[in-house]
Amino acid sequence: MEISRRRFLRQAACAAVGTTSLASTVWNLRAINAATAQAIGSSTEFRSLVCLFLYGGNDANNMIVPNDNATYPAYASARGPLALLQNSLLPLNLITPDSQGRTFGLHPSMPELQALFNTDQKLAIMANVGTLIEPTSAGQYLNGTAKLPPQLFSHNDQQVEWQTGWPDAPPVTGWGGRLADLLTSFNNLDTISMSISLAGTNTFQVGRNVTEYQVSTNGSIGLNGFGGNNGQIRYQAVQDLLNLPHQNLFEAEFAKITNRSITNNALLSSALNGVTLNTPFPANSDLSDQLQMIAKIIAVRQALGMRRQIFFCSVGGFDTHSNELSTQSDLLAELSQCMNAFYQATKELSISDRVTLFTASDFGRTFQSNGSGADHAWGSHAFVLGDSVKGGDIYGAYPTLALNGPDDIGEGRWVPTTAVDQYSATLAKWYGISSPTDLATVLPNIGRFATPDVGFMNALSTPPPPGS
Amino acid sequence: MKTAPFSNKFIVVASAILLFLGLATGAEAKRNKTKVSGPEAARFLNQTTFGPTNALLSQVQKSGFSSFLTQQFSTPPTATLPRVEQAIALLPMGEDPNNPMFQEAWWHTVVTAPDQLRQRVAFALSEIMVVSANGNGMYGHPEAMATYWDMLASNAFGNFRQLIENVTLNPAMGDFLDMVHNDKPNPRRNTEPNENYAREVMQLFTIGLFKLNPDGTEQLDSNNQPIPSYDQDVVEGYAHVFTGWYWAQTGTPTWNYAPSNYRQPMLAFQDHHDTAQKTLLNGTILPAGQTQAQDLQAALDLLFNHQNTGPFIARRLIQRLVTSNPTSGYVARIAKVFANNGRGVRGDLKAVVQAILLDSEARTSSLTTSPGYGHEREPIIRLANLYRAFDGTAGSNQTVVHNQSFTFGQSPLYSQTVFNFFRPDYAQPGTIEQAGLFAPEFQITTDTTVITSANKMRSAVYQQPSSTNPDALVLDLSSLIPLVSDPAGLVDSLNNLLMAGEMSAEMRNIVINAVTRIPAANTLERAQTAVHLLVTSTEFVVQK
Repeated sequence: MEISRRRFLRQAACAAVGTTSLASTVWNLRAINAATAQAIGSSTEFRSLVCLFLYGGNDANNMIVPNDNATYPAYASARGPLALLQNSLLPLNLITPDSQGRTFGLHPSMPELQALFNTDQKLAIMANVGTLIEPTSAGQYLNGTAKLPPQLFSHNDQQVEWQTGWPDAPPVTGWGGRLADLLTSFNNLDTISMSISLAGTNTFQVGRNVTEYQVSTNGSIGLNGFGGNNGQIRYQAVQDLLNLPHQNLFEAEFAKITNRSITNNALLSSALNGVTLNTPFPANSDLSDQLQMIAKIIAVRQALGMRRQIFFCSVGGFDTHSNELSTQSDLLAELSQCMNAFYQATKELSISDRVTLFTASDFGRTFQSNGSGADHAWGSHAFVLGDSVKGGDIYGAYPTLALNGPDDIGEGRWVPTTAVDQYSATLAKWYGISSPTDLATVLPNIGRFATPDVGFMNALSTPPPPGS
Repeated sequence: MKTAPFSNKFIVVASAILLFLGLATGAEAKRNKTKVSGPEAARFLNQTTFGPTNALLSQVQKSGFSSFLTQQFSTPPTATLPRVEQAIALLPMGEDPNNPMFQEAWWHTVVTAPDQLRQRVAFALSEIMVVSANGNGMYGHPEAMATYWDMLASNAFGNFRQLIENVTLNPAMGDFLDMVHNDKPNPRRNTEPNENYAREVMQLFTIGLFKLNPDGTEQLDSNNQPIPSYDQDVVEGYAHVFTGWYWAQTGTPTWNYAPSNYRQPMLAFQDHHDTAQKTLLNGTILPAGQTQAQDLQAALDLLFNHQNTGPFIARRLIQRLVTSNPTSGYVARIAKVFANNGRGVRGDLKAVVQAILLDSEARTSSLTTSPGYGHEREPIIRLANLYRAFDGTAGSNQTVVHNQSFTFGQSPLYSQTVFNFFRPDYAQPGTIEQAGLFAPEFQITTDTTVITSANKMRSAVYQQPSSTNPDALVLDLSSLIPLVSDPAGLVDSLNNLLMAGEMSAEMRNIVINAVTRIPAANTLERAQTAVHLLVTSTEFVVQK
């Protein structure tokens, strides 16, 4: 059964009589989740994960760059026309020095994230993370003995594998969706989905029981144009049409989505009514608008009865096969400003230790250039931001930037040294998943990796359960 | 990715229904001395045009399906570029061209042009061989999308081999997927050729990721795993093939800098073509020292003749025109026509389109009651249906539709990426996915777009002429006014025009009741109410 809780209740309510089985299913679902929840921790406090997906495959080789005099020249000569100037890089002050003595700088268009890394120490970098079936070396790849994620270097496949966190299984659910399935009972049942997307349909948030609710940057939208003397006649007819049974599966699904949207809009639009944030957000940026709406929905979490929320937002344009220097510079500037604004908004809401934003992308890009851009690759670097983040450090292993070097499988495609599974598991653990069983439900392959927790999150102190 | 294109259960059901073919169909037509019934004609027009009109309905009823197709095949293409050029010429000083000029021309064309089938097939092709002005420099060059669109339309009934070559050398595609100015390897700068077009022409335009059987199902290896069609080495081989092309130019051509030229195919620069040996599909080696024209011919021939290309294109065209989940038999029948049109020609798109539309799985009316048959009408096609049915026109003679991407989740030649607005193998989570079905259009069917598209359809129905907005598109509902005193007759008439007579009895009652409750004196409002309820209804949204 695939039913959002909201929809589940609606169906039960609409059926009115003879709902014993439905109602008891609701109760069972709740009981199961409650049992899991007890093992996981208190349900009285709030936690939120925000997935920011960089569609197209971000060239993180130019986002985090070695800037020490020993390493930079090799970077510059191998990157050729894509090399950033050494003195343009924004220095990062690592709390834990690099074991190889390298120092690093951020892309010059990211001063806000530099401050969050160096000054606030609330930004962490996950180095060379990517899709893996099992720990894999470049040698294993090149001699054909590695089990590989299907369709490496293909956009949609790699997006989906990042979002499922389960590359060797059919992409039915995402790891955010499976997380939500376990934790949705923390929220009031009679409210909107705990999974909210500002970027339309996605795989990350698809659960077996919890489905994502897609909201626009203006919030939710309702049917309009039913004014006038006879508007009510038409509105009633529209409602009656939507409640008709449908034999055709596409019709049934379309009606279901429309009904869900109408119900959710009533809840969300009234909750959001009058909410404002003082934190300034960048203008003329869809990502900014998405993150601002996420902050507003977090602001009204109590009105919505939400204690656990998972958000999905995205920005596209990272497929920089050409004109990379200028295109990526603009995109990373937008990313830096928007992430900072969102973080400041969570400070304004006094919730910054309860909200963790993390980035993901299809894949990295070839270290070797094609002349004005770079092509599809594999491992890449990601950001994690929030007051629960052990910031100011680079986690995992930053690759050796050498063509045909120890991390390269060709043209500067780095074999990931940390799996998406580990990156995700670290976040899931912070979010409240502690038992190995639950963790394996969220990330089924996590047992194949020696370190399920990469270590970039501080555990939240949870208030003791009521009555203890 | 999901591999099962279809549940076995559904195939059995569909086959059983096919046994009853011929009993129900045509009975009404015979009574009326027409070749096909009104509902059958409307269903056919939903698959072959941007929407039925009363004139086309009677044409198809009289002439029959095949004759209509023949007439459409011989209708010359309506080009969008002249309308765009005219708009550019009329720009006030200081104003720059922009992509909405192309989109206006697109809407004007699909709503009014006589070559409806060609335009509809071009739209299908534009969602397979995707080019977009979204988020790139072509937003300021409406002639780029117009030239690409017209190229698709003029090749829609031609040969696939010519189509894929014209797509490859089209400057908008060159810009979109970076073939323009793709240089041979440069050891001094440590650069390799751009892999963008090389990868996507295989993955998305011709053969796909996995080896296919002639019926479109995936071949499996001994471990029951799909078999990749190519590997990274082949991508790099094709990337080397596609080197040495730049903007067409007047005067002495130069590689170093020339202004963009979106009106003419790209130009070959032999000095910038990699002439080393190249390894392509299935281990084929292109010898060293070939010109880029020679390399291109060989490389595109390989794609054209690949075992996958027929079933790959067949399935996608069927999905765009007829149904999201064709049986493997349907795909196989079309792939067979792709392989040989009956006169020994491979890749004859006219024969392919005809076979898709005349196939029993497209024509058998009784299939429409199968739970998995049909597909969601694409949102912009719904609006085109409305404007065509009731001759939506503006005082300015412009066909302007604002804010399409937000309202509908799509907009012509304006996808966010080369992966189109939706993927052919998108399975909507829940009931549809569990039934083993795909529902591509549901990838853009969100909590937001179900509402915004319904609001747009509603406002389009009630739009009145506006003294402040000469671009306001107004419907002509005058043909409905004589019917409004008989709400049942009104609804039945609209059912035949817009819904191929497929409206359920329950829906019919709801609409009739609503119309009846509108005061009889409000004749226009009665007509508007009926149209509004129909075109926003779930039953209309799904084309069966």
